[in-house]
Amino acid sequence: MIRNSISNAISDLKTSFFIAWKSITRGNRSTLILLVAVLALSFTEMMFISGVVSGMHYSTIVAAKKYLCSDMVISPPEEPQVKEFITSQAKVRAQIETIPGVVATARHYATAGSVSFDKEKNGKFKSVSAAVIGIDPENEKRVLVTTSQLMLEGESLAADDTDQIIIGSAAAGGYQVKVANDLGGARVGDKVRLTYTNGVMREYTVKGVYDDTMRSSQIFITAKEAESVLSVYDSATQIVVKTDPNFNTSSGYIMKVKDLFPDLKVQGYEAYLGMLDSMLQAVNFLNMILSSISILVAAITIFVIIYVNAISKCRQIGILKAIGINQKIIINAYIIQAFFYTLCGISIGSWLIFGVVQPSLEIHPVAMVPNMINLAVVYTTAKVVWGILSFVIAGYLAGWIPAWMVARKDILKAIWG
Amino acid sequence: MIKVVNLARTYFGKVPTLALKGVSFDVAEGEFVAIMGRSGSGKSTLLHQLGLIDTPTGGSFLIDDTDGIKLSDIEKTKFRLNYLGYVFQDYALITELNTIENVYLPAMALGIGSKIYKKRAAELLDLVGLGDRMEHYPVELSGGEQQRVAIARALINNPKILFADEPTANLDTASSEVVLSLFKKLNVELKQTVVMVTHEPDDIAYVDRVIWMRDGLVDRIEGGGPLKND
Repeated sequence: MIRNSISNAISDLKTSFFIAWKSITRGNRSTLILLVAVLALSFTEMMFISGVVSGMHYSTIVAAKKYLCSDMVISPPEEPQVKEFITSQAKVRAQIETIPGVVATARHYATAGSVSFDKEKNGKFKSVSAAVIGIDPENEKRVLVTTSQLMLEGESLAADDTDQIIIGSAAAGGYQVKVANDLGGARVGDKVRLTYTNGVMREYTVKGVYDDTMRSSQIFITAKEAESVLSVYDSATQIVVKTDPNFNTSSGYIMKVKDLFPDLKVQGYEAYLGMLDSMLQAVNFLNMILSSISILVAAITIFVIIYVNAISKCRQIGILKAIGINQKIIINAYIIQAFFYTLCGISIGSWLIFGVVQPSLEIHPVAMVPNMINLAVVYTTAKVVWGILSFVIAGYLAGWIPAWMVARKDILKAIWG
Repeated sequence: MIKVVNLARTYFGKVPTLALKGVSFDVAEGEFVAIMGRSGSGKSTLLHQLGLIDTPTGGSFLIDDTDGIKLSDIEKTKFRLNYLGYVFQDYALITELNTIENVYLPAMALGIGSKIYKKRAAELLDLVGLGDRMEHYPVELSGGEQQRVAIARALINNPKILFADEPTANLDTASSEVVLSLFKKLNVELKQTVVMVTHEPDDIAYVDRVIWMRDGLVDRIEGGGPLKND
């Protein structure tokens, strides 16, 4: 009995395929081309938007890790009381670097101040508030993309530079990036006055001006100079850590550091995305809506085509039933047609995305943030599979519903109205 | 082969229509029977009940011991595929299929092997005189040719009974004669039981018996068989 059922099912499916194939190959070519084109474009649109959103997300994270916080940031303890510095930073970093998978560490002194500059030497100073970061230039290079790689003018800091400063182009003024408040055109060699929040005032020579799109107008001094200003030694406001993702997960590394230093505050890069993260969540939500609309457009298009086709062949369907072709075969024939259109649309759409759009963006990058972040379409296997599955399910339903609506009609009504 | 007892069909609506009011007759195996009558007499309605395309509202009928009333929709479809052949007034061929494909489609649905059904389809098309038109599509055939293809399709699964609903209504005299001669040939040579609805008096010459319908009842049966009215 089971063999009979299987055999019947196979012959039913074969008959459905036969009817569907004949309908596709002998049907209206223009309708077929138009339908497949609409489906291909819907699929392309859905995947493109999804890929761009993923790309934005991915690029932002990559940029944040490259320029801001690397893979992990260690801050001073907050319990039982908030401390300002991590003490004995050299020892702390040396221990962290023994963790398998940790590539490098670097320390920062973070403070703030107001930079003033008198361009015309007429006593009229222009001031800019800025975050001031004290770095060890050599260590810094191992962990982040440093100002040395972003220089527009001048040179990067050396370890012993205590009277030199690196400022961002927006703060300097007179470069492409314009902000409301800048120094009016400070350049390499100019002397600027930096008043720290702790009241210390120093004069520095501008050693270099860097492109500060990703660094939010931070000013850089050496760690040595920062220690002098802050009256500390061998400390750090934060330690940034670069890790190898192939060795362990982000949370795995965090746990290992916490095991060594339970008092220190240890955070992954996610904590530093800040407002960007909220923005990306909103964009993700928008992406979900737009993707849903694409799928709906595709489903409605298939539905309309199949429905009109079935309605126009209502009589033929009645005749097929009258000669003994069961309803299931007829419905499956329409579902197979719907699948065919869907798969053609997905194939062409996939070629457009992976064969045209993605390679084009690689060959001719479109800058989102000049010289730093390019527009990219990024996909995970799961996203691609989900996109295809959504379309296939939509195609199935869009084929099944109208076919079922028409095929279940009474034979006499179908044939003679 | 067919035993009809007090068969009735009422179409319920604003005004119920009593299309069949209680019809009884028999059809023996190998008979060629015509059901005739004026328009609205119930002849096509009767054919639809016997062909399991519609469901009676009263009475009963047996096709070779199978109670036609008790079959479910799925069982009816299976029964039609296995045991009945149906020829429509307007040929009712599938336009996307060529001649031979139209003929073997029901055999494919029955699960017969492709070599077997293709061979049988070719033989039937030879039998109906269309052996040289197998690759043609319905639009390329005349009305008479299309009807002959429909007859071949109706025969593909060796049906017990061939039902024909006004098969010559859309054909000219010459084509009609060809089709009717074919039915007669099938009946005589292959002992095919044929039940045909027609309103053409000339068709009587081809059949063994005529069941005359009037106002949903059997008026008279010519050529033998008891007349039963309720």
